[in-house]
Amino acid sequence: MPEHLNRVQISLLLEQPEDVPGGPEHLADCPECAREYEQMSRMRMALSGLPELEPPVGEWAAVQERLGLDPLRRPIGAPPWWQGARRVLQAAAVIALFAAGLMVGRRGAGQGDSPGPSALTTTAVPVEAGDPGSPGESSLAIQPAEAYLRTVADLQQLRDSFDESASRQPGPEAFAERITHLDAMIDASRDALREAPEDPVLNNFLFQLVDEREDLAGQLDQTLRMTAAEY
Amino acid sequence: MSDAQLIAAARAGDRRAMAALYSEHAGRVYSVVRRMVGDDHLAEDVSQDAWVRAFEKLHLFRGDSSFGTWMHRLAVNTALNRLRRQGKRPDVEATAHRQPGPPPADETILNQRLLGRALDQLSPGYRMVLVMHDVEGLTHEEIAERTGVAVGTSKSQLHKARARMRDLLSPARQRDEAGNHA
Repeated sequence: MPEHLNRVQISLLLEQPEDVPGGPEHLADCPECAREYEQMSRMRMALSGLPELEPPVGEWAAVQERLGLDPLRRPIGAPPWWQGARRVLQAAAVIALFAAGLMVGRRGAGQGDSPGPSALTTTAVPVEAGDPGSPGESSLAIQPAEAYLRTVADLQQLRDSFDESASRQPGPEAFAERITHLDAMIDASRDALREAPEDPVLNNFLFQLVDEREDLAGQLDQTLRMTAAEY
Repeated sequence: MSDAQLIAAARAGDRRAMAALYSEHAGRVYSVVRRMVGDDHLAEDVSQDAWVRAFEKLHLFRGDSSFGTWMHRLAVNTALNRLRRQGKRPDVEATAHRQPGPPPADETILNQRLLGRALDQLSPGYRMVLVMHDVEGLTHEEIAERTGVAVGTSKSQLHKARARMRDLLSPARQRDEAGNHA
């Protein structure tokens, strides 16, 4: 037996003392090795009691994304007819911003001397065509409230036509197509919300779309499973 | 809802059930993966891999063991596979046979942060065996089965890993490297 046990031997003593001939006797006679034995033992206990770590923030979202389950993922290719929907949504966002600015302006004009935006100087707001980010380029001359209501009505009309077309085509392909369209609508809604994050109509619209997509994904999965089971 | 019910629902595509399974076991999965691979970024990747594989292979889960056990096994195997792919194999360090130096303070040993840091400094081979045995409670037979090494090798690696850990945790580590204490 050497003057002291090395740490490998001391670790071995924790598990299989019989594999270290003379080891237990040495521990009894050597305070330093006995102390190391004690420390090694405590380290082993501490290791077995290490707390659970928190998983990284966003891990579940990443897992969903990799599984193709993320309801807000950006579609690879939006159907062409949804370019129109995108324009409508963006127009709604611009109008919402404009209307909000108008209200602030009126309030400011009523409270002090500084001039604010006025309804009398309202410029045109495009609703259905053109670049919604450049309201001054349009020749339409309508009040923001009217334009906003019209845009909301357009949104509803788009939604109705979408629902109608979906009801005519049952089956997995229709589900998949509908989900693709919803993805495009969600994408367009999010773009519009970047312009007007507080707009209640756009927010509500997005929430409805996300919920609907979630339900549809579940239905599609069930349909696919039933179809697979039939085979 | 029990794990069995959640699994049945998750298999049917119920995303809330999948989320519930994830929430219940994510901490344990990430813990074992993080400690085995010894790196935050790699652990994030491996942990995600484990969950993606789990949901893709959920239909293979027979219920012979609990979902937690199955998931833990899958997480360990995913981490091992990643380490193998990166060429990190169990190795032997010459420092393992040092004589004990001055004992570190109790609070040092018990400080979990220091323990975690020391684990990260271990060589991958030592760390895998130490984490699987001392942290996760696997037997040498289980370690041998999963890693493909002999039971004796697993034991040998464990004792060397513990010795290295003690070395890393010792404040007088550098002094200790000079030689045996008298």
